[in-house]
Amino acid sequence: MNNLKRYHNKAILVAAAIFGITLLNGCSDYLNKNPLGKLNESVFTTKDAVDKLLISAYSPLNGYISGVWGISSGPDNCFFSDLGPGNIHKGSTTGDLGDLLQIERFTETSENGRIYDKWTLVYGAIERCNDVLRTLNDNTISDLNDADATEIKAETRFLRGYYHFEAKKIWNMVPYIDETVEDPQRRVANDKDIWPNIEEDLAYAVSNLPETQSEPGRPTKSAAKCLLAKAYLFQQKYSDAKVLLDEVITSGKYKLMTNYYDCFNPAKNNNEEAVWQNEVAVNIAGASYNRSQRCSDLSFPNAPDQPNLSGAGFNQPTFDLVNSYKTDAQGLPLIDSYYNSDFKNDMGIESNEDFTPDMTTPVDPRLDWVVGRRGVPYHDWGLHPGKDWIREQSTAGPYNQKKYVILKSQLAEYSYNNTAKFNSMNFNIIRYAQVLLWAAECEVEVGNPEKAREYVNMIRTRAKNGYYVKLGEDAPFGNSQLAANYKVDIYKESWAGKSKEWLREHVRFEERLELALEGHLFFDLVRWNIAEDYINTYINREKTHIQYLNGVTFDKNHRYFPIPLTEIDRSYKDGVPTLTQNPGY
Amino acid sequence: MKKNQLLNCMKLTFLFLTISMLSFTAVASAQRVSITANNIKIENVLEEISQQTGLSIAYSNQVVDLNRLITINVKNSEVKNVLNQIIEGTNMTYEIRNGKIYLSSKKIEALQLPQAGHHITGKITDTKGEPIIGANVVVKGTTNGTITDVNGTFTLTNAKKGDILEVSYIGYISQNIRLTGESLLKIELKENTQTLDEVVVIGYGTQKKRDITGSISSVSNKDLSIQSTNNIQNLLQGRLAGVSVSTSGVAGQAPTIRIRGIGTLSNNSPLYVIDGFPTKSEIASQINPSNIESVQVLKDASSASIYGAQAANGVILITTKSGKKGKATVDFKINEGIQLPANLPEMLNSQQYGEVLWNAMKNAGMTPSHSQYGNGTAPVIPDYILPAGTSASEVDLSTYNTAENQYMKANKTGTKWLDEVYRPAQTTNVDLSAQGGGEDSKYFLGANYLKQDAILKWSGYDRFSVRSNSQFKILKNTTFGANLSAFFSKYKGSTGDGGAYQMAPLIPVYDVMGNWAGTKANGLGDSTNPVANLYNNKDNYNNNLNLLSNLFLEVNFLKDFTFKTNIGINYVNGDTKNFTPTSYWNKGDKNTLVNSLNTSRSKTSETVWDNTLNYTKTLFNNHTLNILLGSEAISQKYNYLYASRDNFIVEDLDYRYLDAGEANKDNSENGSEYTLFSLFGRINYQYKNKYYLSGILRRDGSSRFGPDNRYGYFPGVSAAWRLSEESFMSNQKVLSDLKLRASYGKTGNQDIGNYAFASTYTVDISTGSYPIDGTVNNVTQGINKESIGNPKIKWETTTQTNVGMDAGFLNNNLNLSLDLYHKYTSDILQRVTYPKTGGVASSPYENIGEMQNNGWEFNINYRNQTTKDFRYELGLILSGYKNKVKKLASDQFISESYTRTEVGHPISSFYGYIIDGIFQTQEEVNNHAQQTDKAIGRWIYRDVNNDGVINDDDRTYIGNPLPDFEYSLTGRLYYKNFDLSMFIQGTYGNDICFASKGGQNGTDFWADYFNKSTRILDTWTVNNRNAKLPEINILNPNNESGKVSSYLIEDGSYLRLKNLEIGYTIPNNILSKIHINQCRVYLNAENLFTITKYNNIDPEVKNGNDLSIGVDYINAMPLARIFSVGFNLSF
Repeated sequence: MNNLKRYHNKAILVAAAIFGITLLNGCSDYLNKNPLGKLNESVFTTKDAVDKLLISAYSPLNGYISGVWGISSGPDNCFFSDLGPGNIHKGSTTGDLGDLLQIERFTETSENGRIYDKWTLVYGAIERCNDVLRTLNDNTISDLNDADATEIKAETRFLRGYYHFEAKKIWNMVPYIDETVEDPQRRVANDKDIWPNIEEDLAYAVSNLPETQSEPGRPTKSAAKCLLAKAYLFQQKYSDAKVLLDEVITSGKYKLMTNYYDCFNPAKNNNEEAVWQNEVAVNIAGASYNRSQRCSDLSFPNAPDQPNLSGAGFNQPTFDLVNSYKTDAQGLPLIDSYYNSDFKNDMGIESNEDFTPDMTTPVDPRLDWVVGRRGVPYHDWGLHPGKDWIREQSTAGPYNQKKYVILKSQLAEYSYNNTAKFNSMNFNIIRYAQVLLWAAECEVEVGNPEKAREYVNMIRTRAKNGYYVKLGEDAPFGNSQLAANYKVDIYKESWAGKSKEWLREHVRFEERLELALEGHLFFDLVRWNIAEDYINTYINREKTHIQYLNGVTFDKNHRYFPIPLTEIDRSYKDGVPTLTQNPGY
Repeated sequence: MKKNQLLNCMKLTFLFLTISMLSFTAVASAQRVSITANNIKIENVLEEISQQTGLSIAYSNQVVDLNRLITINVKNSEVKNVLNQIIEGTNMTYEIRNGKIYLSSKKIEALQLPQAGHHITGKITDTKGEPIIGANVVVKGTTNGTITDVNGTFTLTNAKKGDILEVSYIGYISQNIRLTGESLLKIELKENTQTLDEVVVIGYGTQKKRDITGSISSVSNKDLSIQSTNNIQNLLQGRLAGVSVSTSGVAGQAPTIRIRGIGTLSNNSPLYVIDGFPTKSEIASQINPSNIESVQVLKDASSASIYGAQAANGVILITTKSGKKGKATVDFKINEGIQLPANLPEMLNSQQYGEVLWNAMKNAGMTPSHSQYGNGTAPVIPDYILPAGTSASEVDLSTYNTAENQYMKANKTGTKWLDEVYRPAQTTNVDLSAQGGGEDSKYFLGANYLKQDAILKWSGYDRFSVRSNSQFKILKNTTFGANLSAFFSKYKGSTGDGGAYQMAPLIPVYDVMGNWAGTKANGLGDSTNPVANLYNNKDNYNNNLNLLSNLFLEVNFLKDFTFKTNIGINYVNGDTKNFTPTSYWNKGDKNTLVNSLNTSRSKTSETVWDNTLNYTKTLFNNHTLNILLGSEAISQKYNYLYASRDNFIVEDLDYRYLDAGEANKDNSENGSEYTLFSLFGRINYQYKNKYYLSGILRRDGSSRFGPDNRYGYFPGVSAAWRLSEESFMSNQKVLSDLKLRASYGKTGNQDIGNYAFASTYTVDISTGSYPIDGTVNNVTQGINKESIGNPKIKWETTTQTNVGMDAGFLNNNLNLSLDLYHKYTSDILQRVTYPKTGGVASSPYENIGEMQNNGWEFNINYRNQTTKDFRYELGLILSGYKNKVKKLASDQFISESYTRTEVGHPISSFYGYIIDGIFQTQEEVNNHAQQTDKAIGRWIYRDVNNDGVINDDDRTYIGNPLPDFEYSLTGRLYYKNFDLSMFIQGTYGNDICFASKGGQNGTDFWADYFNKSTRILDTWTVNNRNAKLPEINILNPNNESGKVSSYLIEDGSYLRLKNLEIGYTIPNNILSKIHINQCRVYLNAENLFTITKYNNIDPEVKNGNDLSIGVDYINAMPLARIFSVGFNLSF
């Protein structure tokens, strides 16, 4: 029995030992567990790492950031700028994406998800900019000299200025958030005009960005000048803007591309006309991912017979836009009469019924680079068949968008999975043609009408000398017959002595023709202070074609969009919301 | 004599896992006991004997004076010797039979002859026909009574027809029998398995039910085994007061369990402890219910605080079966059932769809037209939808081609897509187990196969599980045991309806050639054919392998000490594969040109090592002290691996491996880990089974908090007073047990993910890259902030006060218990919902708030045996709570899509506009506040703040998702060999937000070409002025569909006959000939009917997000009605 007793004692000892070991266990590193596979602040001690932080502030440029769909948050702003004032209809079917129908009918409410997406993107991106600036302020970065630091800061502030600019033009009263805001939720009141802040960021960029960048995605000093000039234009500071625009123009850094189409060709990304583009990429090596322009997902024609082309059929150009490309016998726009008759279209005609497009009425050749219409080659995808490519012609009209469509022959190289809507066509956030037209605006305002005409004529000259869409086997670039009676020419008569109103009207009309579907019209109408008249006039014309425009009116409050309800609800601080809703919502 | 000394050391030890209520078949004479005590109560001696031998003891307390004190000193002596000492000098006698010690009175051996007058005789036996000695037999309302003799017989004088005989016997269910004039009664008493002596698991130990001071609900094997169901949580629904369960319709998916309300904002899931293994993972739903011995739920803080930081949401303790001493028994169970989709909503048919569209356009001032329905004054259903306008004579099948020339006939009556995707589905459950044991070992072995097809086509769930529980006494003072289990489950196919709600009825399921039809035709939306979707998914799967095992070693030493060490491992391996084939039948941008495969593996390993030291001592006879000290180390690791590829040249199953794909190779991996180290102690003290006091303290250290706030202390105290033991209560017979309880304690919560203290940055191509160099097929990778950490966060603490009462009446045939609690959670951990101005990185956790739950639970059970052949049990559970948010950082409220959680209101209150009907006259329109698009036929929104404008500020609280109370009613009837059980369950007073009625694609508003509910036929027109919905309008005036309004809020109260079962137990005399011990066959029906006003499929809304409780989205798997038949065999 001694053995057992001994065992018994042993058991106690073992038990005590185990107990003791577990107690000790708790005192060791047992409870120190750091995140696995994730980085933390401590990595931002090299220039390379900080630049990667900066890259992530560029990343939302294409409209994508965590938590947003992306169709309405890209730099194209198609639903904020082209949808309401008359360049496009929502398209697809009436009920599809009702948020967009609200915007087109100026009945948007603060619950509108597409508006919230843009807000999310803009402020998400701004926070990333501020992350970069805080890191530069707080961290010791071993291999970063002052010059490099200044340049990173300049790029960052350029982006921060740009994103705030987006917010400013959409909502007007918005918070300005910089790296010094201490509240981690960045609840800042929207009770101030933030133009001074935007100007300050962009001015810093102008002073500190280099004239050239080895990587085309990064803004140059000139790009910053253009963006700052744009900010001035939005405040009617024409002479300030003119100084900057003149510097850019006289620098000779940019020139118009030979063809209007060159600006919408992925093979010519980052061309000489591009001042600053949103860079996109597809078929990224080693990743099942494409960074195409998000909005274009929706805007491709719904073409069941062309699955590689087919999209959701949104963004259908208006009758008004198509009509505006009509010209007189001299190739000049019909500013006061274009709307008197409709350019021939296939409204109400089935695709299997006969239709011959108008080959006699003179039109600006840019029409057929902007709009897809029946009987005209849709690049090399074949003749546009009309109704078969339109989801609901009866409610949204007979046209498709064409500006952002790549060639079928480009599918392999420039699209993701041979899907045209996921293509690598960069988006022009600022292109030189617009810079020239801005300069023209300034010249009008400061009283140099002939200089303004010169700038406008540069645009029209290019339109005249570039490619015209041609029919036949090698459409659209072959040698066969032209697809329409293309006629465009410069203003040959002097503009001296024309009234300011006349001059403004002509420059602005050119801006619409040149920049249609590029995200500017609505914001321009608002800054020109003509939105109410212009839009209500347009609606009255267009509603004869588009029934859901009946009863729609545009009032002053709709110059700016509602601040998302969710944001106001989440902005409460000590019982009161820091954000105030815009008037009328 | 050394051996005896050693054995002496082992007297009166704790056997935590003794399951004393099981019937033992061991031969009693072999039992030996050792007891040394001075002046110990007979009751305590009997208890010791029971514990040491496993024999249960039956007696009538009229015969045995339990309070008599004796001195006893026996070592390894036969039971008989001890019993002889006990009865020495009394008029008692005893008998050992069938694993029981029967104590009875000597005097009844010589039964007195009946006196003159009316007399009856009877015999009382147990269910096996063995006589019961010493049972009380009393004529109700009189003192006229007697007790049964050694043959179980009795004779009673002066009893007449119509009198009621009360027959009672400790350990058995009492009976009341009305005398019918029969002179020779045969009375059979059922064993009472629900006595106060029931042992319940309380966390690192066990306790007798009657000694419990906290609030613990318990379900034993007996309750679990009667009904057929596939997972434990479903069984718990409605069985336990204060435990709310909402089940998912998807087989294998864990239901949501909430114990005593919603205590916090982010994670309210309880802790599961399975055979001592604590885990927050949802493995409990995988455990085969027929392997479960008992389930206990620790509800109040004093009982749960032994699990400290993990216990704030309550603790569910699951104990699986262990073997029983005696010869092996084998159980075989089989259940075969059919599930029928129930309560599918009515959708529009083809004609209605066209008419609704026509009205929606007309009312918008548009000329109705549609690619399929034409452009006439009324919609016309076409013959063919593809090619549009085709007539039968134009169909040339030789030109048929799925890609370019598909012929698709319109379904003129309308395809009922819901009927197309749902189906009756089969369930099979086969269960085999064996158990047994000898002197030094016990075993339980079980295997189970469950096949539960989903009511969705081509979908279903399979589970195979095995278990081996065993215990070995490797030395006299040392027990070694293991619980080993493995579950393998596979869900194949779809869990959602594939979009059946939204598909237009005009579309047929198949085209003219029997291939999938779809939305290729114009004007029918972009939805994909839901039947095709389910078919495409049929080979996609989600496999889970789960290995849950623990080993323990228990050593008794120095008389009163027990040391136990327990090591457990839970390993979960997940494996999914999803293939998306190319399709040709859908329109527009939903065309899938590229097929793709993605596959993922996840593995979670949890390990637990706990050590406890237990000391138990009875001092000065009446003072019992129990002290527990322990430590526990928990570690958890998780790893996830994902990969995908596109472009598979062949789509056959054999090629659905990554290597067969060509393009877009993608992969990702992530991982995390977590540790918890704890020390804890518990003291239980009781005096004379009358006064109880208990104290608990646990200290937890968690890796989830920064070094400064890593440790938390969680104390608990409780006390109880059994009034029924007091002498002033001894003279009454109505109240057989009465206990008052009170407790107070703190528990913690730390379910905030593993790294909430640290900010993390990620390298993610989709959220942080940019092709800055301008090349079209390359990006520069950036680094972006993924989540914001908060090193300051600390423990969330729930403080709970509980008072309760347990009472037993009529010899414990009527039991009731009542609990009142106040639960206050402070330092609530919640991801603060940042506005987007704070960026898109996940916002940090903060200790942002405080919340209160005041609740009550009431439980009443009654059982009665009215005749020899008939007995019944009834149970009613009622519980309710009021939730109120008491504090929320500076935000004041948390806003979600349909709800707002605000100080002074219950969590997740519905928030939106109030609709005051529909404008009927222009005058009404003119008089109303300024409201967008206001017109006759539109909804009138209430101007809540009376400022003359309807805007965001007019939103208000429009509903509360929390019920006034929940209830359940259980009934069990036994007649001869038949049994019937019924289970009713429901809630009262809660609202549901039927969210999917609204929204741009909601079922009740016309927007795109999604199909709609037939509710949309009740829109306002001049002829239907009392409609619920405004005039239909395709332009959605004033965003009526998108505004959260009182239209979405419905009464969610319901009553459901959850379960009905009829069983028949084949009589023993038939079975014994074929060596079968027991055989029961039964029919079971689940979800037979529901009474509710709620309009969606199921008022049991499952929504895992506690900030959106009661928000119902339509695409949940509908409720199934299940009919099954089964039999249980035991041999």
